[in-house]
Amino acid sequence: MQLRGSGDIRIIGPRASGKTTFMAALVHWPNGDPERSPIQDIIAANDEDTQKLKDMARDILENSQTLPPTRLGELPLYNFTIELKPNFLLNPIAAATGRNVRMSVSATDYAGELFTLLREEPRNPDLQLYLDECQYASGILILIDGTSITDRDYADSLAKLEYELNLRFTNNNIDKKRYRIALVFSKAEQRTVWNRYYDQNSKEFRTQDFIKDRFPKTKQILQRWQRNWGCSVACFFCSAFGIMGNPPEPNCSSRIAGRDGTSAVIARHEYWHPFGLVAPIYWLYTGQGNIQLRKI
Amino acid sequence: MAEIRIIGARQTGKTTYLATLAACPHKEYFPGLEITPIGDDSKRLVEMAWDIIAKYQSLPPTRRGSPPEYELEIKFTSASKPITLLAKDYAGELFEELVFEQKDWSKDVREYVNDLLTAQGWMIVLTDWQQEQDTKIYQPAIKNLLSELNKYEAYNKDKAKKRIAVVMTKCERGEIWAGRFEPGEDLFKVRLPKTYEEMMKPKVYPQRVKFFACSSFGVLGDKNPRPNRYVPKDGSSIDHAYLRDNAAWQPYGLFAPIYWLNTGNFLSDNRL
Repeated sequence: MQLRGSGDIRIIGPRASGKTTFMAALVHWPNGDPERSPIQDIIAANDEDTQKLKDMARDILENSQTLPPTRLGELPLYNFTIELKPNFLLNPIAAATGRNVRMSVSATDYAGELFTLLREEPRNPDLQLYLDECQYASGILILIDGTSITDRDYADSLAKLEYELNLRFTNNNIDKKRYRIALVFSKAEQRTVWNRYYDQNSKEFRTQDFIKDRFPKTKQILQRWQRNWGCSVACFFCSAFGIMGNPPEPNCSSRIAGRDGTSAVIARHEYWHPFGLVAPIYWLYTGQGNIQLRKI
Repeated sequence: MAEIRIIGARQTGKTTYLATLAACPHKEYFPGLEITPIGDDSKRLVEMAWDIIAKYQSLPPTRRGSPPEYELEIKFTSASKPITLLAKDYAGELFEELVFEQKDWSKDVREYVNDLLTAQGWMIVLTDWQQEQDTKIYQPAIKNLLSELNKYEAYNKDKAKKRIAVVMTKCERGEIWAGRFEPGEDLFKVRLPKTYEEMMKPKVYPQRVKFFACSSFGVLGDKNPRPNRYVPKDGSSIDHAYLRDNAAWQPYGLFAPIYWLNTGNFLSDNRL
């Protein structure tokens, strides 16, 4: 059964925030635990871009290596279907039929340079083309490295993004109120995020505290965007590599950390268990949050 | 059914333990006790006991490569239900190579550990003869093994947590024999303190780790508690002994760890 909503999204964010890794982990979906999870499966479409992404997950990530950065000219389009179990949703029809519910998602992955260009060179023609394309999506997933400290740069880029999209939405008479903006902090398995902001009791991240401490300017810009457009904004945490062991440690090695964030590779692919990848997609698709999905 | 793995360094008596278990030379003392070997490998175990051990020779070391799998059906009394023991007997070198960091493990060792992780229970077999083994081999190997187990269990939350029986073999020796009733406190804590400390860490102990002492040879008699062992005077290591008197062959404590691994309970009679 097809879930109602829109799965046409754009993924934007600074370089090395983990956009392609996020997508690769999603379509590869190493979480082979359908019993406990509300997610039955994630099925990658058969097109070239998506299959290449799946191969990259298997051949590169599982071998503890980094993915190549998405280049400026590239605009890969990934298609996949997320299948959810019926009892997960508060959807009476789904529960009644007992059939799995499907979400078809199309996600375009943009090079991180575009984020920098927004801030430094907003008139850049590559950027303008991307923005023209971007306006047709129903929502945007902004992926930011949760361990980075360059709040002001992100705020500047996002302020310009609002301005540019606003021009286009106004000119083309697109309904701004229906737009959804998911702000997703990646690499939440890293100690600077997990140890300080994950609450073991409620099994949730203390989102408000985190944003207030680390990304106050970004928060301000997004709140303003929300007010100006009347649209929806939501925040999420995710980890493409996940944690392992008990007490949990990040499943990563060869870690290099700096102002811009952290780069690492997966340490133990046998224990690869990403979390928080589906929650923002579900929200962008349906406009609804789901507590269960935030935890897996 | 208890599907266990027997884990331990070289020369700790793993195969001798299994052969003695299969042959059960002391079953006349425990009416109703029946051991039935199932399959050719297990029948060979019984032959090893009578043709080699009982003839005052020692078993050859278990080689690397595909480990033999033994299946034994154990009935404690004529009224009780039988338990089936499935045990794989791995070469001791594999355990010893666990002292290296996980990233340096060879393919053999990785396959060995992957197999260990799929078992229902572990019997870790140690002897205390060379005390430096405690710090050089046992503790680091066990630490690395438990670290893998930790990651495996965190990833596979649905699977039941394994019980781990830690067994000191060759406890017929004089200085150890008296401590056989409280193996944790009297044997492991005193003689293998680093290993004991590792196993006592809160994440592991107490629910799933229990300490045992056993002896495949036993002592010569209740009134004569001398070890039923013989060490030739040709400079052989005292840890590497032979059976002394096959007419008085009464092993001790072989069944207790298996019973606990299988049921979570203790045998009422530890002498079995």
